[in-house]
Amino acid sequence: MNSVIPPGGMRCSEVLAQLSEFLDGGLSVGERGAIEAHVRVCPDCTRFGGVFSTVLGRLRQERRTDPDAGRAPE
Amino acid sequence: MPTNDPEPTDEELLARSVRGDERAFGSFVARHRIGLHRYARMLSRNDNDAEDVLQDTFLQAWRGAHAATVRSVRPWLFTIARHALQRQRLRRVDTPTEAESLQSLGTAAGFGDADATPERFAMALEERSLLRAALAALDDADREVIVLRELEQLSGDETAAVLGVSLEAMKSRLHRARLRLVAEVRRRLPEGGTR
Repeated sequence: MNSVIPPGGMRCSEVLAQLSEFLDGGLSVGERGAIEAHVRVCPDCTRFGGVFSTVLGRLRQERRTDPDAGRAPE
Repeated sequence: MPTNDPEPTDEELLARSVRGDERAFGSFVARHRIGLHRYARMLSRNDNDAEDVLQDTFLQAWRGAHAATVRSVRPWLFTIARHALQRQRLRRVDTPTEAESLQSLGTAAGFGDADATPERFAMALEERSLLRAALAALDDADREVIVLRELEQLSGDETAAVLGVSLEAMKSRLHRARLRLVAEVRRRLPEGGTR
């Protein structure tokens, strides 16, 4: 986080805490806007948001292609 | 004839900040960042916690500068930092699995690691066995909420009902399970992805 004032008035830890809600569409317009403003100028949060959504995207893709995905280890 | 403008005082920088001059606040932060970070790092458990305290401190200072008459800047800043540390500790006491582990879970998942890039994860996940291994490495409770929500695609309410918890509790559990899954994937990244 290189900005002087935490962008969007949010700290990185707050973005991290709300990342799931953000990706699930569970936030208000104002909350989304604050996160988007933060992520636009915060390389750490941009990168980690990308990692997080990449893994979730791959997981959801797995559901469509592998009926055994998520099976408990034997 | 050239003149050398004297460095503005802290009070002048704050006054300009109050009038909306972010560059002035930037100069103010640059002037105090090292000392405050040293203080926060000595009293926090790790770099992420210290950075969080630092961000909280400057955010509160930015807000507070509008409302307060600051007479002695350094004591004022360190008092704000001290309160930020106290708030961080209180969050841990109140909700140890929420506040405490979210930071450490984030770190384990690669938050703050410049080498943990989406491209690197995407490339590694081309190998489907990697995601399966990461899922299998989760404990039962984490895997359960991920299977219900992500693979079976139950709604949030439905997942909460199955688990017998409130919607908020389910969301918290899901978020932490997702972070642990990312951490398990990260552990399995080829070359240099482990910690």
